[in-house]
Amino acid sequence: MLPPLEKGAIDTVSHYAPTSIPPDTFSELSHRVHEHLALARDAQTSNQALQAMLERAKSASGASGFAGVTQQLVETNKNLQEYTAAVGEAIGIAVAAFQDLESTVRQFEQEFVLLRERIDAIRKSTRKVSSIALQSRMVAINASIEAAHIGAAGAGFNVVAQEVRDLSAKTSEISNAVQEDLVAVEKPLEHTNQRFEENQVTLARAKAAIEGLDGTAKSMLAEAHALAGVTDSVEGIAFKQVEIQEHLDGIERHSLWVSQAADVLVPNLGATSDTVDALWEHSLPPAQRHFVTSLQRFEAEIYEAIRRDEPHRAKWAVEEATRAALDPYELLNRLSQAATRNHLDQLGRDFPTETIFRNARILEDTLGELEAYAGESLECMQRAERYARAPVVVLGNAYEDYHDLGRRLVALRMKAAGFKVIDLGLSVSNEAFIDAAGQHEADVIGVSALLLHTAVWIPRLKQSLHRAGLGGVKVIAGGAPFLVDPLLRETFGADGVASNPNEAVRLVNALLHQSMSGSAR
Amino acid sequence: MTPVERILAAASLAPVDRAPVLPVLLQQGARMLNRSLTDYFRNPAHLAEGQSRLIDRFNHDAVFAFPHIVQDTLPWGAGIDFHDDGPPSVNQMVIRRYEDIGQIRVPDPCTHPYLRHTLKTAEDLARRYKGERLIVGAVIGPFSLPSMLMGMGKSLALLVQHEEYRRAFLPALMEQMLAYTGRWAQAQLDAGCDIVVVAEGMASASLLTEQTFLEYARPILLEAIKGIKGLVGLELVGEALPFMGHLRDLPCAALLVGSNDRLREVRSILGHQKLIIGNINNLKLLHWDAERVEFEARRAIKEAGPGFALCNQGPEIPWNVPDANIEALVRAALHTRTLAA
Repeated sequence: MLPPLEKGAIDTVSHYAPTSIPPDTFSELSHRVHEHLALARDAQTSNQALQAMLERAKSASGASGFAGVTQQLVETNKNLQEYTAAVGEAIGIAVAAFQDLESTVRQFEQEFVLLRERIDAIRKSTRKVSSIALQSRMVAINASIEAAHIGAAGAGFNVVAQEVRDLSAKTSEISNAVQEDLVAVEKPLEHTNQRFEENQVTLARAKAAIEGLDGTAKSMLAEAHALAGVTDSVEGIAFKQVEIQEHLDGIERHSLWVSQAADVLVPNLGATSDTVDALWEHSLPPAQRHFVTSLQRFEAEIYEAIRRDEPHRAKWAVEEATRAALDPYELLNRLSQAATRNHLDQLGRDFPTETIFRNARILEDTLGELEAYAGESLECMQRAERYARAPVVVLGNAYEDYHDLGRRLVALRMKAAGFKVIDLGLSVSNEAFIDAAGQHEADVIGVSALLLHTAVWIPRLKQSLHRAGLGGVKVIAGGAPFLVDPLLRETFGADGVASNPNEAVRLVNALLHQSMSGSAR
Repeated sequence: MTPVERILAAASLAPVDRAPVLPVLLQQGARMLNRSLTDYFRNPAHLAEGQSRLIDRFNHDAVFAFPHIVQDTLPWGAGIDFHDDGPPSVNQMVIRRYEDIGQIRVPDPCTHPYLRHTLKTAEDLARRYKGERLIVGAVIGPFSLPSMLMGMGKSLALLVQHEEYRRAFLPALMEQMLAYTGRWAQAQLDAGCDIVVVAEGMASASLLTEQTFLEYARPILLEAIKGIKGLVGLELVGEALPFMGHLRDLPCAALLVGSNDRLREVRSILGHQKLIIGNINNLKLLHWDAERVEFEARRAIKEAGPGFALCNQGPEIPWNVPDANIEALVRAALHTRTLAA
């Protein structure tokens, strides 16, 4: 890497510089080197903005912990599937157990009916036994009466009759006891039956519920499987996110290299521009050598005037330049450089329209004073041979669009950049745009559209330009809709969109450079 | 909860069943009635019916009792062009020289035939929806109306460039604008609007530096809002976040914020006051698919938290946004749970 040239080196170069080279060559060279220096600064500033954005993008994509969350989602989903399967299995066992219980209950019901039939049979039998005991008693009583009729001979028979009567009484007692026992058994049995019937209803409900639960568990399992699919997709997105992060790392690396290159290029070009200015100064007659430093001072003053919003400072700088009899063309160049440097300061920050308006006011006043100083209009200055390559831009508001502020600011900034601007004003028809583009051999048409529905004229303008054989004319757009949604550029088919006057200048330069590169190829 | 209960609860950061959703559907009413936009806006007798059909179609929480915002320039003598593919636009400036300001007579908005239609629309909508849906009116704010009457460039130049004109004419101009906008806002509220939105497109951080905002815009905003008896929503139609600290204490019930304003930060600055309304990018609705719209709307609801109503960024949803995207916006509000404050 070459170190920047020091002041001593410049003097040395100046000392040995061939004085036969005309000052205009150095002036042209100085102009170009300054332009390249502005571009290098532009690249450096944009790259700094890019790095800041990259940092935010990386922090946003990394801070979300997407990969971690996805992993957790995968784990949770896996657990959910296992738990759901376990719940399903348990419910299956419960359903089977309920089915067994139901079968047991049904069996028990049958046995209960059988038991009641047996109890009835026993009751019938005991009633028969009681009846037989009663009859035996009657027979025994009759036998005792007959034994009494016989007298002593019947005494033994009477004893037997008495025994039979006693046996009959005991049989009756036992039969009664059995019947009482049956009643005692039957009551709790009836109660049990009643409870049993109630339990059967409850059991039926429980069975229905558990069958419902079984259906839910099956649905849950199906949902868990669906969730697994979603989890796979999310995991796929997480993989992509990692890929994006890797790409961001790559972009960051390249941005770093651009930054390193720009960091070397800017001071070197700065030194080169100083050298060229020194050579230029040296090539001039001694009486005119203040010229270059005065130009540098003019640029610095204008730059500060715009930056600090000090219109009086810019006015003073023009007065000084006038007193020093500097070339209006060169002053115009330096005005453009100062405006560009201010633009670079503003890159990456959103400045309100008011700031752009204040900057434009200084440019407008300075341009007016330069025109007055040159004694000719800016347009005449731009027609001069030295301005032969100045881009020609036709500007206007889209048809039926009556919002002039943005267009006026862009026109001013473009004029300050040395462009030849043909401002067609408000509500310009596509035919008028095409006529002006043909008449002035325009490089670019700039359409300002504050209202969305007026931007619809832009694609039609492109088509009409092609039909008119002016397909090479680039169409750029600006206005609120494009600020709110930059993607509208694609919708309306513009070659470029600028969100502020400085960007518009940059865009025109880039488009023209592209065209020239294309033609060269 | 009825939509009105929901919005009032959200405005006091009380629990709501879901976020209110207020997509600004103005031009779409024409489509509901099978009319061209030019016809619908040129003869605004069918606005209430258009709004009614929109409610039937999308079931959102608010009806809008104004056809378009540029109507406010009509009583001043401005001309407007009607278009079949977008809202009407002003085609001539009323104030051509700053010196004209001294000669201007403030018109009565309520006597202009076009604006009388607007008041009738508010009355009609009140008959149909009072207490059920929020009825929204709108005015161009006093600080911004001059930009519609003299052009934005002239208006901005008066503020930051021509000091002598500013000293000579700005106070009188603002007094005229306050008188007109105050009367017009009050008339809409009296006709049945529940809230009137004061649209201050010239006061946003996209346009003004903080110093200019504080020096010229904020005092007018304060006076305008204080002068209106009823609920006021303030919209800067651009970035509001950089000025949020200065908006916090204005006596308005709601703030409509821009699509670049980060909702969490807005809430953090406002604290437990004011309904935040916002902030889906209305132009991106044109090319997003319904899924993306729903996603973005859900994201906004979650980010803003309690005290939020879902809406597009101002001024309105463009004519050619697909219905499916509007449905997605409403669906997002219906299905996204918000936590109570």
